Amino acid sequence: MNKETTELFKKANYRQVQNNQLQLLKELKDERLTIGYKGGMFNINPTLLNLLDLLERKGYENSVIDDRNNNPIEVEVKTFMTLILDTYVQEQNRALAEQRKIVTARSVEEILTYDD
Amino acid sequence: MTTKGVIIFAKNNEQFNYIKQAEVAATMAKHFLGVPASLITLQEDYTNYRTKEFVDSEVWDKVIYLDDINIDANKRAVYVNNKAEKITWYNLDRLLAYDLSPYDETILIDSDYLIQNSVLNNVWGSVEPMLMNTDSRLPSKHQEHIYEKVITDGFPDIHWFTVCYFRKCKETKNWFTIAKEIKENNDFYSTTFNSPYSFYRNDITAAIASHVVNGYTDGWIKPLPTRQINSYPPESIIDISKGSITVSTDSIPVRLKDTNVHLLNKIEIEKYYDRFIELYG
Repeated sequence: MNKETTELFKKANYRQVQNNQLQLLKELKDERLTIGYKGGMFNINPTLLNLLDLLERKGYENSVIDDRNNNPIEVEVKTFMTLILDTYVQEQNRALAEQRKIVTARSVEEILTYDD
Repeated sequence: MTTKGVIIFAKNNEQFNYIKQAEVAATMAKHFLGVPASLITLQEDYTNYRTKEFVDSEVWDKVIYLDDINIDANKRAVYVNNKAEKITWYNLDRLLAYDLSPYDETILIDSDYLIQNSVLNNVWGSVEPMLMNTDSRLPSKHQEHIYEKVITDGFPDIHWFTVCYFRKCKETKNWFTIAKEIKENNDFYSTTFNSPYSFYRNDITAAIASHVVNGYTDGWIKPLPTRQINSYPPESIIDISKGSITVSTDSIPVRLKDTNVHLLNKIEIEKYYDRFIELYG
């Protein structure tokens, strides 16, 4: 195997580690965007945010919405909206910062040790 | 006021100091979740451990002794120093968790389950009586476990009893009652539901119990907000820092950052005990 081919295989190994760390990060973001509220378990996503935004704009103070397990949960619209929006923004920012570190890391070692 | 906390069962054997592992698991649970942790063990084991290892741990909220019960022992293959060995595994009955937990709401974890984030705090106050995962992954890929994915027809979804949330209520009590019945008649239920395992597994009992209480239908148990990541031997730890464990797998090194992990190569937890306590103690 010549030097060029060896380098390509090294790069493939690097890419494999990087892809796995990015996948783990994506799953971790989903975990962090799961929130327990009033006994329900909610996935914070654009669908939930849009629903709460609509309810708030239409003047609903309280509403019953289904959690991810189809349990009907009564929520205070404004309070819940603030909570999930803050969480959404914070976790998206945190995930983006982590993603950048993984993507810009120059070696496998750097991918595995950033922030240490 | 509702009480909440973590409980861990631990019974030492010739190869593993489960109480020592449980101390690491409890220390990390307390650090990240901010709730008390209690140990369920045998008095003799606990006293021996504390005397021999000169341990003066204050990690435990309560140490609950289980001295008067009959403990099942069975042989199962486990990796010890990267070699498969048949060891005696004592099933310190986790189906007594409901009866023994000092808390109204409990997160029951294995002694080799290491918590590295606070996501599990979302379970408190759940309207669901119990939560447990039925899906899993490995550090380096999705888990394609032949028994748990390509299970025989009619077998319920495998439950990962490694981590379980429950609150004290009639529904949970009923679930544990059925689970005990299944355990007592393990041969019958294993045969009826075509279990692929020749030895007793709590995960299988849990799966059948949920199936039965739900009217012989899957879907009763709902998942935890965290994933079930299983790191199997011979995967081993290559680095530990705050909120991060890096393991070597058969293909690539994997960093589990801010992520909970079920580290089945449990000897590694004992090996790095001092480091874990230094970080989280």
